[in-house]
Amino acid sequence: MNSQSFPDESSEKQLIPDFQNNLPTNNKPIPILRLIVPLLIQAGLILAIPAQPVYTYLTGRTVILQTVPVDPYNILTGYYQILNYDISTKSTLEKLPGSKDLLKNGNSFYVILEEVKSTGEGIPKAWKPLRLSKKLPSSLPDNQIALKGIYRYGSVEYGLEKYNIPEDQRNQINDNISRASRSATQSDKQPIVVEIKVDSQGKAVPVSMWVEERNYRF
Amino acid sequence: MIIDSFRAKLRKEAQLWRDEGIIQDSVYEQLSQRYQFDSLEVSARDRFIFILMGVGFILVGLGAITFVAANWQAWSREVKLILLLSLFFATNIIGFYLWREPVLDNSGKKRRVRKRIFGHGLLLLGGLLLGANMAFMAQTFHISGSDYELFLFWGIGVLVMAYSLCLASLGVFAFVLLNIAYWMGNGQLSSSYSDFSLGLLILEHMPILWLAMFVPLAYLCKSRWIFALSTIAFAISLQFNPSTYEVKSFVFALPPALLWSYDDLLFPKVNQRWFQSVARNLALLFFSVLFYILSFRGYWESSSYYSTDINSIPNLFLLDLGILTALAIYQWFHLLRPKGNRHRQGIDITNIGIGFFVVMAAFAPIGNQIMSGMGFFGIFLFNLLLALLACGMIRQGLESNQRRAFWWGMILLTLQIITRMLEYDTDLLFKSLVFVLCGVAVIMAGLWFERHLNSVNSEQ
Repeated sequence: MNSQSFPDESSEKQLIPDFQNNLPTNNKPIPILRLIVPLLIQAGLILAIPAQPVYTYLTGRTVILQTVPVDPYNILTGYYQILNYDISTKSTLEKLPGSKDLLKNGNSFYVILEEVKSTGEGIPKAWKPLRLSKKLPSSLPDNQIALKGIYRYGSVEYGLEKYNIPEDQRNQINDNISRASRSATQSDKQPIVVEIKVDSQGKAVPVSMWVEERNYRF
Repeated sequence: MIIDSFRAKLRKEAQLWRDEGIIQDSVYEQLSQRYQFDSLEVSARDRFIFILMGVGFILVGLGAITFVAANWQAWSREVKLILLLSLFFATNIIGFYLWREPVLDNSGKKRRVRKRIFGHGLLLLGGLLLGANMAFMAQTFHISGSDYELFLFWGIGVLVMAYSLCLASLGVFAFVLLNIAYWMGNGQLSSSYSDFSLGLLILEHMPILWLAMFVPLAYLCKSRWIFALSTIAFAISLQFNPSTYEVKSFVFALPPALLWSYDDLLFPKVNQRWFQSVARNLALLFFSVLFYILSFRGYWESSSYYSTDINSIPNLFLLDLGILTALAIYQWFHLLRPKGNRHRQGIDITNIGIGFFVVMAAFAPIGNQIMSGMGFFGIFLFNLLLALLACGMIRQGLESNQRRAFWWGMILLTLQIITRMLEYDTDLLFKSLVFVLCGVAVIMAGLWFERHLNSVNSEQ
């Protein structure tokens, strides 16, 4: 009594994919459309990556953020600078109004920033965080802006944390940054700020970085 | 190469046979036509040209890579982008044109096959270049998205191509990429439910998506590998999905229930049982692993941390489970439905046995919860089930003279005995006794079975 329901041993050999089966059995070549359509989808995937940043860059408002940098290494994207902002730390945000209950893992919220007028020459002044808001504020004064962030494992992410350093300038920039960081121990804030653009949805892209008097474009 | 050397040898032998008068000239002609002795020189020359061209291509490629490396820093972002994109398009298009060459062509068939392989390789390279382009984009525009998202959408892109060209190799490539994405992103899944993201949504529903994305492809490519890989990924990802901590019963019972009752003919436009045996083998494998794990003391003695609070599971995931459960019930209904004149006694016993196993698998987490403190019963029950499974397989192996089922059952049984002996604190003398007994039993049973198999084979 050979039971049909039990897996047949003859299947073992066939587990190896039979490439012969993949070949079209007739002599007609596969229509070109079967390449074009997936290729266009793939191209769409490639181009979709910069779509949001480009939109933000074109429509956004310029804002300056205060930083605290560190520098690790990532296999996938090569060398980059991890930028840690003044407003990324929990201790800074905790002092602000509206921060209650918002600083929990996975929560997203908006930080309202206010412009600090720069005094002409040199390094621009960083914007000052005012308060936190769970929802995107419908209207804000002209000198204020809402920036979206997500609280994750003790710090806040804004999508502005990576800066890929061009290879030829890597040593120079790293030297400048470490020099600037050292000099910061005397004064209260290190003289490294990042210029970003923020769109109406609170999404942001980095534009350039000021290390003391020097400006590096992203 | 191997085929060619066989043909060359055959030609030499056939000439010898003809000269010695073993075969007639007409027979030689027939052989010559069948094995295309004439084209032997042609294909040898072709091979030489192919090697020359291959070396040339590699040199040109190396030169191009060196040129790009030398100028990479000097070029602007736009030049790099255009270069990478055009490389991506060129590789895919050239690969496609070489790959789609017709197969059946009487003259110069060998070269065309080689062209196809070369084109196939280029298409795979195109899949790699898609990832390179995406990573480059993310780097150039300073996007601090998660790495898992890159792999996820890369995998989806490759999968689209695999579907369109019905290429199993691209399907396996996409499978690997999506696995990387899943295991990279799985950790983030539990932490950030509040923020919506497409990537996380896909990851959350990955268990059902493994089936939805790869099983149709397996049919398109007629590839058992893709079917087996996708169902294994489905079963494993269901166990580790953070949303499933509360519904372990479903998680334990659904994969084997679905796999055992799987029937290709239930799906439209399928008229052959391509994958049923693979699915059933995997169901048995799943039971073996699950019962083996559940037969350990550790599982039953650890306090159960499952809460049965249905509300804590995302609603959409419950929908997934609902769909899978409905599918399983539908399949079982078809499996157990009486089908007229076939003699079905044996089938029904196997099916009912498997159905019982499914129910017990679903019972395990519940049992763990209600019997905290009296785990002895659970340990005993699942050891019994494991032994039952092993014996059932041995029985099936004997009944239908299948070597694999018999041996798998033997190994499972031996593994169980040895594991239990090592798990519990037993005397050294007793350990040695068990080892010896197990070894002797395996050898005896194996020898007897192989002889039995031989005698059955010679009778036929």
